[in-house]
Amino acid sequence: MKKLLLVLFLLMAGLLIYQLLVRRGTKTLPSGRGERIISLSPTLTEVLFALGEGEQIVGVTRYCTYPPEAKSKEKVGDFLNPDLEKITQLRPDLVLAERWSSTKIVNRLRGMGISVVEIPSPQSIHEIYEAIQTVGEDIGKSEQARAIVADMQRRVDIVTRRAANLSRQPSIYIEIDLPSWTVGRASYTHQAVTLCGARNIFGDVEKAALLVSREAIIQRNPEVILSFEASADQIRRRPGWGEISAVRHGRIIDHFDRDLFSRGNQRLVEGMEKFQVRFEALMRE
Amino acid sequence: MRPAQRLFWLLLATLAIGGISLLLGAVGIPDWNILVTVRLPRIILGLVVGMGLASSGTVFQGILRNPLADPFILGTTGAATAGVMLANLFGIHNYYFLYCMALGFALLSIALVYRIALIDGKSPIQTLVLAGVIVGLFFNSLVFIVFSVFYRESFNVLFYLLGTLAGGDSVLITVSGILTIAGFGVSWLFARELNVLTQGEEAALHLGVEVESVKRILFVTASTMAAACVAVAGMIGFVGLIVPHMMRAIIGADHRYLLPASALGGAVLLMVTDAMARTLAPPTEIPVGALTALLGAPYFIYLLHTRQQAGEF
Repeated sequence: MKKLLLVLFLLMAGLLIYQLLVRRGTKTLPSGRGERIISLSPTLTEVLFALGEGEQIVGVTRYCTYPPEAKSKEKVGDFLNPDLEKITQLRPDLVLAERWSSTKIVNRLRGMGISVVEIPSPQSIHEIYEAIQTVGEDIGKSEQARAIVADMQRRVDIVTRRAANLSRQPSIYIEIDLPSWTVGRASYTHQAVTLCGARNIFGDVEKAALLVSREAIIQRNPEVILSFEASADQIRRRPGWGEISAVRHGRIIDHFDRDLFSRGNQRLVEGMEKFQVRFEALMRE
Repeated sequence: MRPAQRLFWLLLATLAIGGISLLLGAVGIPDWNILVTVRLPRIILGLVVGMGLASSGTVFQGILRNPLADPFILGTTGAATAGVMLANLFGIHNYYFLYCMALGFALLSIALVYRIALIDGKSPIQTLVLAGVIVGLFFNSLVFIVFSVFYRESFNVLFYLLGTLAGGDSVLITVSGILTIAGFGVSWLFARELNVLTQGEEAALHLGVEVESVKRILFVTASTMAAACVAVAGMIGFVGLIVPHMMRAIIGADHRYLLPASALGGAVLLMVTDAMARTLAPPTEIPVGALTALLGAPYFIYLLHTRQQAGEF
């Protein structure tokens, strides 16, 4: 038993030393009059930067990688497991979170007297507009938020008008994750692709995301495949997929930046524009 | 050293390690606010959960006479997760309500297991273990089905599958703490009966132990401790399995000493590993359940090789 206790205490001592050695300069900052915002969602981080609040952000999650400036912000963990100690130490006067992911931590933060705003995760383009508006109001930048939404609406209009020139709506399978996660009608990704003039083969399902069986994909025989994760080559090599129209005609859009289509903020419209260009190029061939 | 003396040193070590771990975490040595509102409750939670899991494991290994028994052997985790999932499906995210669902479902599954195993007023050990495994698998598959159908709605049940001490709220820590301490107390009162039961039920019967009723009480007690831990911290494996074995090697198989030693040992193991989880890669946390095994397994192997009685119980 002596040995065991000795080992344990040495371990604790080691941890203390490690902590002193690797501690990067995370000084406790004085709480000033200016706003100090922590974002617990990559989506909301992007919105905050677009609203010109980059300076006021004092903490973000590990997944907040856009815009590049976000990477240099203090990290408070990821959205499933934000670090309470770190958040408290950064003395935020506002914490922004998405409702679906951080329920647990939100209660604790509120209990400590930190004001937390939970933004419902948008499921449709309309809800994206609302979310941006809500964030704008919470940080006193309603004007800027309205401008961002107006710009989005204008660009969505352009995309929609351009799609109207297509003679028909080619069918598409959207693979958002392996092995075969896709989106149903209740998602903005579905909406975005539809507005670009494609027809989601799982658009009949009243859900945001679903895991479909590969047989169903082969059976529904999409003319185009949009993939965030798997490369075109990997998709071609899947057993039985050689028969799919998209594979036969080489109409696979891979290496598509998933963040453009899955973060649910103003960048969705950029994704729509980029997708439309590649989609139309494929259909012309 | 006599067992009582060893216990005393173990108690001192537990307190000391608890004290040191106050200085360890994502932000290093914190200011008073963080220390009191975040870190102290978490360390207390580690103490409670470590104690509960290890005591529960000791009792299960004793009554089931199975060295592989652990607090989750009777499917408690699966049931707790299913409870939380159900609440999520109905859009209820209140933290306290989720806790009640987890605890309620865990207790429900225990009643179910006991009822399934009960044949002619007796519940043979093999049947109990089998019933537990089956009920656990059933709830687990239910969880995975719901998870794949309602992907997004059920996202935060992940917490119950990946155990962590990060989320404890002081009210819930208190509730789980009271349940755990009460459970420990009841188990300890039955320490002598446990000693006899480990010799086999027949022997216990000859020695005047009312096997069925004692078994039932201990069964409910150990399960309640496991449920209280799962509801507040999710599934943290290994502690309940390995700490009783470690302590048997250190302090002997007498449950009067083994139970408190396991409780303290579990608390120490979890406090140390959680300190590592907080400190090693800040601000990201390493799942504490992975660290418990990382730390516990080598020591257990060492024990197996140096002390032959390590496997006895």
